[in-house]
Amino acid sequence: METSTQILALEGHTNRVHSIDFAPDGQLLVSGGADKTVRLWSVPRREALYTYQGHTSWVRHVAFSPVGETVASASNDTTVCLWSVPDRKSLHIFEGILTG
Amino acid sequence: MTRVAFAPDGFLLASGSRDKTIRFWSLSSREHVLAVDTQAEIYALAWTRSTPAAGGLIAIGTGGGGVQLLQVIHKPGYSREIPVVGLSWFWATDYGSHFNAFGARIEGVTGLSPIHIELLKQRGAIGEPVVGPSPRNGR
Repeated sequence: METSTQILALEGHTNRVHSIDFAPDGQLLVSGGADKTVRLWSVPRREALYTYQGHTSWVRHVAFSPVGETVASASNDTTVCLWSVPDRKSLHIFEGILTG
Repeated sequence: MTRVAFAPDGFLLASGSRDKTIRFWSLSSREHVLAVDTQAEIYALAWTRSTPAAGGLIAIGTGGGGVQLLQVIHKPGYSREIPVVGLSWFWATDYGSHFNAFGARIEGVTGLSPIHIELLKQRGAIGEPVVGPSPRNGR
């Protein structure tokens, strides 16, 4: 337990975490923060699963879709990104029209 | 962009921004569907999770400390492929600078209907207007 907590800390965000959301089934957690990354975590295994990279500024908010197969992230870089949970990849970038 | 939320049916994504707009994006076509000016910087946004038939409610928290509730309306033909929606204000703690009349002087003003007088007073207008028909040639 102590060891896994430490691994989380080592592999986790390197700056403020702004937002966090559970998957609908409660097995996964997604977080986003000032280190520009979106991170996927396993709740039962208490470990980091994947780091989505692509935002060029703070991630301000993250959310799971109702079924849990997609994650959306809103960033200070004025974009909203869609990420595939099963495929661990970027699906689409919605370009912001004005400011972040 | 400050906040994101999925529609309860998963057809749309809503984003809220400090640029004072709520934007809707189709998740099937990935196209921008609608932008709505909220007159207030958006720092929080949530979409109701379960909504039979209707589009549900979106709640936003604003930079000025306000909370607004907006009804999402499915337009005719709404589908996964063409998720066309509208928004109407449901309730708000602040109507934003655009919707208030604080300090407006309506003392002695003529030609206002009773409902307009009531709405102006609700939004902070000061004074008692003259009730009754407007004089034909203004003042």
